[in-house]
Amino acid sequence: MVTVVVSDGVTFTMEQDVAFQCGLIADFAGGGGDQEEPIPIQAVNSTVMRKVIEYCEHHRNDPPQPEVPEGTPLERKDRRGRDAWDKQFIQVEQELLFEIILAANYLNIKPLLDLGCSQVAEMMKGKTPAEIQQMFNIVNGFTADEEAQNGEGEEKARNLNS
Amino acid sequence: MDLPIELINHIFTSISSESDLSSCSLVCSSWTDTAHRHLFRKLVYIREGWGRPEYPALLLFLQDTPYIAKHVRMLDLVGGGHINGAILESHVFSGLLRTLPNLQHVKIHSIWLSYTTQHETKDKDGRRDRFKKDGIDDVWNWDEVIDEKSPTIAGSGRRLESLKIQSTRIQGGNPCITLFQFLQVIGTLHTLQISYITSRAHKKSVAFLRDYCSSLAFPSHLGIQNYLCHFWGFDRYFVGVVVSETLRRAPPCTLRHLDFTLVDRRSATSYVGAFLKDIGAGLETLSISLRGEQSEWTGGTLPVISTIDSSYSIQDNSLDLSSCKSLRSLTFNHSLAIQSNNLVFCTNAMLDALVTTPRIPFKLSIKLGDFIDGAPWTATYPRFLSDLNWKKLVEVVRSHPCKEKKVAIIWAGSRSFSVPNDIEQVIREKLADPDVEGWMEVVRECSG
Repeated sequence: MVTVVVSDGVTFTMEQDVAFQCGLIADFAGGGGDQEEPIPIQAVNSTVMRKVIEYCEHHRNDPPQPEVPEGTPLERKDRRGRDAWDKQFIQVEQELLFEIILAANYLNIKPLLDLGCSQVAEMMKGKTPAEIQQMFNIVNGFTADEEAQNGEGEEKARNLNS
Repeated sequence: MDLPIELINHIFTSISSESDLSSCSLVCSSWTDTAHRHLFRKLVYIREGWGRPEYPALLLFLQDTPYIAKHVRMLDLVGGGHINGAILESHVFSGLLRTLPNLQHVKIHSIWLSYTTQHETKDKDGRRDRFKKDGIDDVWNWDEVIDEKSPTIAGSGRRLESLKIQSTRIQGGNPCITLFQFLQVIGTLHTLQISYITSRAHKKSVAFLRDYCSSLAFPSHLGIQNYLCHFWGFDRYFVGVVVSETLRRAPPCTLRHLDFTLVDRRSATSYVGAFLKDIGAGLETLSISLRGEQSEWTGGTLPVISTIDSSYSIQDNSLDLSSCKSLRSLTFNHSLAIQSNNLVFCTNAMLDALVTTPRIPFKLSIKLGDFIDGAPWTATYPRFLSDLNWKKLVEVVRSHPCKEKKVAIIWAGSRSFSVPNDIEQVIREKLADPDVEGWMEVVRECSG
């Protein structure tokens, strides 16, 4: 068994095959037997950790994912695919979704990171820049020069094709 | 959204729609560069129509938009084909490589390649004169072209890893020098694929190649000199020599993968043999393909010309793999739609080369197919079975020192290509080796 303690002081105990899906925990534990001391996970709170453990328990029997080259699009990289359970699992509030992504990145759980990122991409699908800004509460921050450059590139490309 | 930029980048990897990526690039300034990295990673430029100055326009566009150019990793230039190909001049190609600092993969498809200097393009009449009058001798002088007058590509495109030149036609006076302009990047390449290149036959180019062939150890029985003289107007016949000569003179390189396909009915192995000793030191995979002439892949009827003397000696073939110290895979693709003499000639040459160059692991693939509907493969296939030196194949495998050996005979082709059901049995009987099951594999890849 492996025990972790998260940022708000809550302790979680997991079986090794669940815990070791987190690259960080596997590295920390050194791949050995039971861990006596709780592993501190300061960057993740208990709400998010529960979701992470739920994901890892569901996928505990999955075969290991093959290595793929850097920069490979996720749609080709995710051999496991998003099954119905994954789709349901990742339907969460926006804030929690971002926290799951951050946690997956910190804990080094690549399939969960891919799943979270795919969900964000899905949310942006077909949206205009203004709609994306509104949805994620983003201020564009473009300078006047950058605004001009944005239009200029497209204009030049249009001329090239005319 | 409060995610670090590396995670934003990760999110963008799962967006395949260009319009969605474009929208993301306009969301905020911190997203723009990251979205551009994905949006402009692959640039495909498709142009049709002959001779229009389209590629200079592309070059100008990229020079004016460095924030786009820096992200381009793959560049596909697609023209209108052999008949109406757009012309890509070497100095424009050179300019593209300089303008795209992170370019890794280039594919040139269905384009006419032309050799000119930047100065010449400003003066079209002068350029024409150069090929017509006394200046023509200049373009035949390799050293001069390489050292001074060429719009050298050396130093540009330093990240370039693969170059694929497919279905292109070489323009210009000396086709070797023209092609050379495009292959000067070879020094950085890991992968080079040359397939279906044809070349415009010019009186001077024929004379050049005739002189060249006389100094090369080409099998005299192939009669290339006479062949060139006789067929000087038929461009595709000597392109193997052009490519061979060009690569032989290429700068030092560390090629790991070479895929060489010729529209030529002459010995592909001889052509490859002519330059392998110069560029083959780092080769890991080598694929040689010999196809029929253009009519094979355009669906026309196939003339059968038996010009190779069937009594050739295998020692005449110049395929020498001894310099390829890293070779681990050798693939030979051959269309059954062309005459079987060439097929057997090249396959036997491959076997002969393997005898003297033991590699680990031993992997030889012989891929045979018609590649178009209705090609008269049926005439060739029985001859292949009867004429190939099957005894030698068994000898090569048995005598080879490595433990892991694999020979695959792959029957590939279109719907009309039906492989006889007993083909495996026929081949195994030919081989007559009790251990054949351990190293021989017959694969069917016919569609439909």
